Amino acid sequence: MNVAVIGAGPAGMIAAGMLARRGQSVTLIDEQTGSGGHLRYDRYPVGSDRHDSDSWLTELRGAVDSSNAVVLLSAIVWAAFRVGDGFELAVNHAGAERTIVADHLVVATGTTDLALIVPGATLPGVMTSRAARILLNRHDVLPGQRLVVVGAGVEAERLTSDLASAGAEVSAVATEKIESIAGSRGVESVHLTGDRTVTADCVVVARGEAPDLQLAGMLEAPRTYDSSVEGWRLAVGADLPGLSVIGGALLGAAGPAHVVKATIDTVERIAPAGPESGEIGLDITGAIIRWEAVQG
Amino acid sequence: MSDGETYLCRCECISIEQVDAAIAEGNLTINDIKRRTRAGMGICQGIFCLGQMAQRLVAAGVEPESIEPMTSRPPTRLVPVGLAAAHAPEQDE
Amino acid sequence: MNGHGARRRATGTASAVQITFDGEPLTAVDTDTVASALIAAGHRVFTIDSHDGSPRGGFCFVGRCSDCLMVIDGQPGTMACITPVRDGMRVETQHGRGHWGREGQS
Repeated sequence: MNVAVIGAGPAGMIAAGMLARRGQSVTLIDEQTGSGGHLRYDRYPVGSDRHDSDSWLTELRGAVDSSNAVVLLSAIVWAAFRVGDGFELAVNHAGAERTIVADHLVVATGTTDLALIVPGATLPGVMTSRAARILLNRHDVLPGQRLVVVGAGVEAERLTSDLASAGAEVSAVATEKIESIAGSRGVESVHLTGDRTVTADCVVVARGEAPDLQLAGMLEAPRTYDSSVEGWRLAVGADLPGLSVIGGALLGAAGPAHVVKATIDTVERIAPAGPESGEIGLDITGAIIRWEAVQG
Repeated sequence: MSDGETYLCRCECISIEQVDAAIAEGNLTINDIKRRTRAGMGICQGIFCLGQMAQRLVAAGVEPESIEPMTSRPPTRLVPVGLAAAHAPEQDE
Repeated sequence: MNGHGARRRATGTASAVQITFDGEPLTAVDTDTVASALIAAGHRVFTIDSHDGSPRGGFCFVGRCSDCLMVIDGQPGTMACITPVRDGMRVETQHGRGHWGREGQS
């Protein structure tokens, strides 16, 4: 069977490696210049140093490279169509157009960061949490000297701590306290409720994530709006012939349609303990795949 | 300049007031608001604004689970027009 | 320089790449994207929005939004955040939709 896996983050890489080891003909596609998805700019586990993400990424790349999976990088899937019983993907691969034909599609497109809607939020210096992590962790660049991190939760806390460790002045502020962002050519100050003003040169929006189902939506995957996620999630019990959705793109989706639990001997090696590890049920006849965390 | 504007759609510079006005006019679906305001038609194809648009519908009293997503049509990304024309998958009608 | 305070932390092992930004020389490192190189050098205005003339400076940094479109080696509409730097690369602030084709129409 020809399987196309869209998204080479940890979920996509594990699925591609597993499927290739089971004798499927796999193409792993990612729009970035390298595989790894958010592992290229995140730190695991919480509070630990970057080496943990690097070593996991190295292992995943090793597992994929030693398999027969074909990896296409700098490859943007800009359209997807059902054709007969399978799929056709329109891919812009480093400027050249390609059509990828697949019997089965694994959607591992992950998540996108939530935006902040206040006056001045389009000023230079306002960026997503992911953007700040890319600059800080991937490029060793401080996004600013005096930052306001907007949001609450583990991700916002982790980022605030990382920025402070890198030498920046950081304040963490809850979303509802932000009234506006001001500046002429970029962020200069942030106005908070209670008539307070904070001098800043960067505002990081760390409010949370929503699943990225843009491509799945093009294939008419049923989605339900979820106010707590501020986005659409995959509908419960959705029937998706030939399509599997895994990893971050499953955010908020409750309950798989079918799950076949099958532990593969390589899973322990290519998915070491961490927030993304687990047993993966992969029913390649077209069920929704559930990403389960291991206990203990 | 954008002083004072609260943009809901940053790609097309559509303000939250424009979206709320479209809702007040009776545009109660994502597709209708998109057609009325252009929000969601920019380069990001709505990935950063449609959820916020839905939140305005929720604020206006619309049931969250009833808010259908935008009709997704290709392309989802910037592609040169000439290259897009090269794709014409055979479709059985 | 806009002087807003973005700077590079000490790295050491990356090798230097020379590019220009709006005609002025700028030193990047070989692992940079155009966007990270500009931020590291203290520049954060990448593009002037075609709708309202507002400055934009990169929001998502993953190639999804419209805030880092720049003229790179003469090509407008290029996303600086996903373009790796190359020696001799010419980067310019994009104004509106930029000038396309021989007629220079925007």
